[in-house]
Amino acid sequence: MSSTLVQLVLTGLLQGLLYSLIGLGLYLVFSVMRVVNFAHGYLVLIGMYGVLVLDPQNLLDYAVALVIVAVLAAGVGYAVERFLIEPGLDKGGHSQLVITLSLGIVFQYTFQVLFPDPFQTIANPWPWDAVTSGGVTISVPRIAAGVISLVLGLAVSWLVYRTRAGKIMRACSESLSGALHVGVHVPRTYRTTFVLGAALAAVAGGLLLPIQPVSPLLGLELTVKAFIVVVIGGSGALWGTVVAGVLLGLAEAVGSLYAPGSLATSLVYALFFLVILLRPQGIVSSVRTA
Amino acid sequence: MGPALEVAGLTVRRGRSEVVREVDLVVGEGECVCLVGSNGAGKTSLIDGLLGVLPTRAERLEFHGEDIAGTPPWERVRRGLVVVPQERELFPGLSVLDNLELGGVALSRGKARAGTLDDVLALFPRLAERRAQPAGTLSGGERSMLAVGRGLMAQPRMLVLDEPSLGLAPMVVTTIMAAIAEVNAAGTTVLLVEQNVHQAFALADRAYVLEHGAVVGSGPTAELAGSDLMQHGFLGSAAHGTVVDT
Repeated sequence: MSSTLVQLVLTGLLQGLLYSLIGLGLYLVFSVMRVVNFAHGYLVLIGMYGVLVLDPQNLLDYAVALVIVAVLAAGVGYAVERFLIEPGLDKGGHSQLVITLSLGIVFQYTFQVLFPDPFQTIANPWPWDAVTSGGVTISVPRIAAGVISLVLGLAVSWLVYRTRAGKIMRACSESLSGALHVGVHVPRTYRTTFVLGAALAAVAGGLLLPIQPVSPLLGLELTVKAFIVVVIGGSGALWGTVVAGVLLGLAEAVGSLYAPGSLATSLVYALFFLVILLRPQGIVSSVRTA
Repeated sequence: MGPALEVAGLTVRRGRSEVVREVDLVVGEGECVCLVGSNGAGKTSLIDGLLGVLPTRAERLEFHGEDIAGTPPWERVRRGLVVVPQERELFPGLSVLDNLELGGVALSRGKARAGTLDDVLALFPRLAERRAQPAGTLSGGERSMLAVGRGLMAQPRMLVLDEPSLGLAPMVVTTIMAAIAEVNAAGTTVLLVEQNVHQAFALADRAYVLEHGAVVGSGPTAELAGSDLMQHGFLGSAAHGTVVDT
């Protein structure tokens, strides 16, 4: 393999891990609450703009900034779930679609008013700029974002599959009626899930900022990417989302090799059309018997 | 000490229609009462109303003397009113053991007892054999056992079973009914909803007959068994609307 290709694959892999982390929040909310959160990408923007405002000058400041945006997004997530999504959940219909879509638009215009300058970023908070080996150069913020995303992904997986709280979340996901019959406090579980998803999204945003400048329109793009990751990953298991995220990152990176700029992006989406047509249930489908 | 469950004038709505109307129902502590009625009589809706997953209106809805009207289902389960639903509502992708553990989720950590799981596995040895298997791969009988077992994990003061024998082979029905009898004998109040009158009447002290969402008869099972209502009322349609004076 040429060093260009190695570089692209590594870059794509690291970017993909970040997409996985963004997708995980959406996946959790969708599978536990059956809510399609069209505002998810804007929760990522809360993380990006939050870190932008805090403007960390060193690694410690950056770590603190990530924690702050996680807490901030968790608070926003709680309010959104409690006061906008929860009231419509047992009413049937599709109120949450309208609510999360509208919420995304509200977020977008709010960010546009607060941050009129597009494509803002921060200085590299890491003490090193890049790692170079054999003609392959990868920036340290990118490596860090990928590695931290992977660690957080593993932590979420541990939470979902190994803890009591995770078992309750899976119970709600498997059968809402079953959860009610065993006495799960369903609204509390929903709030926890949504808060967790929002916090993960914000941390992902904070990790993304040193790699990619932020602008208000990025929210929609990230929402779409998170959707692709969740749909391609399938509803069966969390690791499907992680694999799909990595695939998206790789497809974008390698696609850029064969097609220029925005054409590459459209090729990626065309490719996912194909995947969905061939395997509509996603990578990992749910195991269900009649 | 008062009754375990005391219901007066209970109306349950499903969507816009009142599927259960003005039902009075009393279950004494430690008693085994059964609720019979033909398909569509409103038995499951009545149970859903008791658990609080369907909207209700009632003059009185008391569990062990405490008003539970308007409380959410998790609050009722925590107080010991546990329903084993007709559709089982298991967690198909989770193991048998996880399903059982989730049964005790409403209990505060202090109240949860390690022995409960052993008791349930002793009651249904089949579940012990299948403990690591996903619930979705179980047979119909095993699913029913798991549903009952999961209900018992909540350490119910009153166990409400909605057609636990529905669609099961006679051998399995016997196993389930024996388990219910054992649970009742150990002091747990039981409300058994059944279409299978013979099995239910063998187990229960008293019965209520539900028809078109209303109680049309009630009394000791020994008396009801020979009545016109049981002979013709809901088994056939000849004596439609007959009310037995008990």
